Amino acid sequence: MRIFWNVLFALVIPIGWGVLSSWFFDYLRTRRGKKQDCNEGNNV
Amino acid sequence: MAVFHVTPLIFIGALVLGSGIGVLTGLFGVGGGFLVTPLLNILLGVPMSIAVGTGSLLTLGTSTAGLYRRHKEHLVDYKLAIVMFGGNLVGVRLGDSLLQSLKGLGEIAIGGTFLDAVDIIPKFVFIVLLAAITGWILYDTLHNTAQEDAPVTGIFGKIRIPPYTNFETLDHPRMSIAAISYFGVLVGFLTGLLGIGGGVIMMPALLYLVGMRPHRSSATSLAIVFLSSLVAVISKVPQGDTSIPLAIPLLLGGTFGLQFGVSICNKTSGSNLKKYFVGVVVAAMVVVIYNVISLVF
Repeated sequence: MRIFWNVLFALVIPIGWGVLSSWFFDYLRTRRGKKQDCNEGNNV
Repeated sequence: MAVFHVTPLIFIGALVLGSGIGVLTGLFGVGGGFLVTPLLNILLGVPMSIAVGTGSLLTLGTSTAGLYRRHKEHLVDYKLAIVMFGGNLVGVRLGDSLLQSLKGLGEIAIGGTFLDAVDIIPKFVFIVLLAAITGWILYDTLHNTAQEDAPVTGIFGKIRIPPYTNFETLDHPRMSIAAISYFGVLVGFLTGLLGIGGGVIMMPALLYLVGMRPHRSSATSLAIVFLSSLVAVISKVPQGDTSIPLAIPLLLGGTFGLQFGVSICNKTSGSNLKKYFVGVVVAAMVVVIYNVISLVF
C-alpha cells in the first residue's frame, strides 16, 4: 500500500506541477495579449 | 523514496540544471535524461541511482508542461505517438534482456584496463548511433536544397507493408502501421539497452524516417517522451530511487526553461532547428565519451 501511495505521489507532483505552471504561463500570455489589445484600442 | 540531503548550493545547482534541460525539452522535444543524469552525478554529487530516478521525475514534469502547450498549438500527432509507443514498450523489455545477458560476458580489456562488458558495449553503441545521427543531419543540411514549405516524404512513406493508416499531420499521410510500430520496437530496444529516454533518437527519426516537419517532430517526440517517462517513474519509485526534495528545484527550473524553449522553437525556422539539434547530439556524445574515458583511465 505504501508503494502505491509513493508511486501516486511521484506521479502527481511532476504532472500537477507541469499542468499548473503551463496553465499559469498561458494565463499570463493571454492577459498580456488583452492588455496590448486595450492599449492599441485606446491609441486609435 | 530515497533520502538525499539537499543543501542550498545543490538547490541552486538543480534549479540552473533544470532550467537548461527545460530549454532543450521545449526546443527539441528531448527529455534530456542523457544530460541530467551524468550532470547531477558529476556536478552536484548525487548518487547515480537517485540521479536516474529523480531525472525521470524532471522529464515527466517538463514533458507534461510542454505537451500542454503543444496541444494548444495543435502540433502533436497523438495517433503516431501511441502507435510508436506500443512498439517502444516491447522494445524496452528486449533491450533490457540484452543488457542482462551482457552481464554474463564478464570483463573485456581496453587499453590494458579490464572493464565490465555491460558498462562499455552500450556506450560504444550509443557513440556510434549519435555520430550517425550527427552525420545524417549535417549531410541533409548541406545537401538539401528543397524549399522550407516543399512536401516532405520520409523513408517509411515508401515502405509497403500492410496494414496502413493515415496520419493527418504528415505531408504524405498514408503510412504502414507495421513500419511505425516496428520502428518503435527498435527505438525501445536502444533505450532499454542504453538506459536513455529516447528523445534524442526520436526527434531525428520523426524528421527523416517518418517525414514529419521539424516543429511537429519536436511536439510529437514530446508526447512519446511523456509516455516513456510515465513508465520510468512507475518502475523507478518502488525501487526507492527518487528524491522529491531534489526533484522540486529541478521541476521549478525545468518548467520555466521549457516555456522559454518552446517560445524560441516557435520563432526558429525548421532548417535552423535541425542545425541546432546537432549541438544537442554532439553534447550527448561528449558526455558519453567523457564517461568512457573516465572508466578506462
